[in-house]
Amino acid sequence: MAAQQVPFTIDADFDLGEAAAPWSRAHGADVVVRRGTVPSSLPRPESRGVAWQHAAGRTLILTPCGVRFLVEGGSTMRYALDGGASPADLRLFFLGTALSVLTAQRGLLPLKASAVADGEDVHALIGMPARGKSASAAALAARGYPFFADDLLILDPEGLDTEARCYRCDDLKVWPKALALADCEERGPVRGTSKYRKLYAMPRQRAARVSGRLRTVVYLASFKRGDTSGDRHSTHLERLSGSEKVEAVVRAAIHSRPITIAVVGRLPLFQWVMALSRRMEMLRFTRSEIPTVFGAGVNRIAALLSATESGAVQTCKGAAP
Amino acid sequence: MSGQRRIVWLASYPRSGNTWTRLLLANFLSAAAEPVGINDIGNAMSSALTYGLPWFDSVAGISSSDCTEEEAESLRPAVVRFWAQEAKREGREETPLFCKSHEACRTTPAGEPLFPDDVTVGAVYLIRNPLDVAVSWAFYNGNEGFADSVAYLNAQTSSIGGAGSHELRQWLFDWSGHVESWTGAPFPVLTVRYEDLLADTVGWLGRIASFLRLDGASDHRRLEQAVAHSAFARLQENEDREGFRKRGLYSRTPFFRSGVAGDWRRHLSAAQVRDVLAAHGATMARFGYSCRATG
Repeated sequence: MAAQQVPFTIDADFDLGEAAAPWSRAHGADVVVRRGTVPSSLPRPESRGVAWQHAAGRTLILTPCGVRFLVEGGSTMRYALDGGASPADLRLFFLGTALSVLTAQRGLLPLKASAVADGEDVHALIGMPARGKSASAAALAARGYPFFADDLLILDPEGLDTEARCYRCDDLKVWPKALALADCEERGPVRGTSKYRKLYAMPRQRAARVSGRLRTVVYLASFKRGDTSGDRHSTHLERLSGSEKVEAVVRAAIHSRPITIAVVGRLPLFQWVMALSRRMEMLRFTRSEIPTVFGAGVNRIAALLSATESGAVQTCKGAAP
Repeated sequence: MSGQRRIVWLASYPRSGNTWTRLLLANFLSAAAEPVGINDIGNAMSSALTYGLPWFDSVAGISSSDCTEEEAESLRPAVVRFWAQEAKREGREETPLFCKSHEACRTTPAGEPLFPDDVTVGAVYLIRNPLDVAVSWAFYNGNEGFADSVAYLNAQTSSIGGAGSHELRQWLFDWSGHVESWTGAPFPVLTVRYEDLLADTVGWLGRIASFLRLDGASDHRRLEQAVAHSAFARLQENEDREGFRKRGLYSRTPFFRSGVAGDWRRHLSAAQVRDVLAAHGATMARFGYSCRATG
């Protein structure tokens, strides 16, 4: 039943994990993922980066831990594990970079975002790396907004003019220091090496649904030009204009951005971003990154999400208690 | 720029005048009537913070937050080379690519240089009296007891960035190790004492521009304008007006706090001065620093 809610199904020869279970189908799936031979390079790549190459509808991903993926035509994926890469490493990179490439190949928009649910609606948190997206989503789950997605939020660009349907696929991952801040429970290491410190975590509430209507995008920032108060407890809330929305999404919200650009193409991707920006209410929330003011900042985000429901969002400066 | 060599490393131990030097260069390169804003340095010159997560992730294509620190570091030389090659492919061959770094000039765990010689034009290495560095670092971190700051300069394992921050882990070594790593780098290095830059800013900016073979390096009016645009009082006024994104998270003082040489005399205890001299006396003497001299 749940599998009907996802935009495509996956038949993988490894465990995708609990959060991705709705995507999993043993037979007749849209995408088949198998261990196999993966080349170390593609002939005549059309575009490439340090850890990836793309040519003729095929995308090669080369992770530094030894997991390699070849994603082809949005329907098949092969992977190889070299140099001691573990099943946990495979799952992490599959549900992140590899799945984002697969979704892009299938005409979906992979967003780098965490998200919480609000009934049928979804509120996404975007921002540059290490701005507290995951921890904020987890903390919001303790304030009445069930956790929905971490790292990858898949958006269907079709129908953006009427409804922004989005999907989740992975569990929450946080740094150890965020466990207490975000009021969530540790569920074990993310990677197969102790050198990687992020942990899987269970938030206080988790949404049962795998999809929802994207309603609000909150852009988390840590510096507000013009804030000279020196008060590290202050927060700022601003409604983003059209061009600011586009800039925020392009800069901070495209998952695996260079690869997604190569797969989708600059113009179609820009058109998706424009459509998303037209459709979405986007707010920039600036707060200090001092841990002691984290909770108060999340309270303000919760309050503004509540205000978006009633249409009463006011842009303002505030102070944490 | 010849061949693939187009990166200029603007390197220093933290709190040694790096941001000011970048502003001097940004104002020199822009040669505009209006000063470059302190929050707009990156827009005024082709530059990158190669240790920043956003830059690394956008060039590498994978998320550094999915990697161990060693894995991300292992990719860094390739990421820097790729950036340099892309600049050439995009026709930006004649412009140096400026990269700020506080990191020691060292190798990855696999032995590969973190600052690849084959894409490097050279480095401008800023050195400052470590006694003043200790004071400035303490104010930057909002910890004006200074003992932690002295210990930080003296520790081989000091680093910035890493786990959960906006930056990849950057290992500094101790202050002397940092100095030795850069002054012994396998590419041309212009070592500039912060105190000399303070005393003769136009002259030293000209030397830096000449070293980097920048157009206008001998244009005295252009150099003077860049120096005027980067005057400390102007930077403080700019920070007062709009804040500065690089201000220390816990700092109770502005980023552009004092800027003077010899401030350590007002803040460090005799024991703290002895600790710094014991650890770094030889390197300090090599670069003309003593606890008696001005600077």
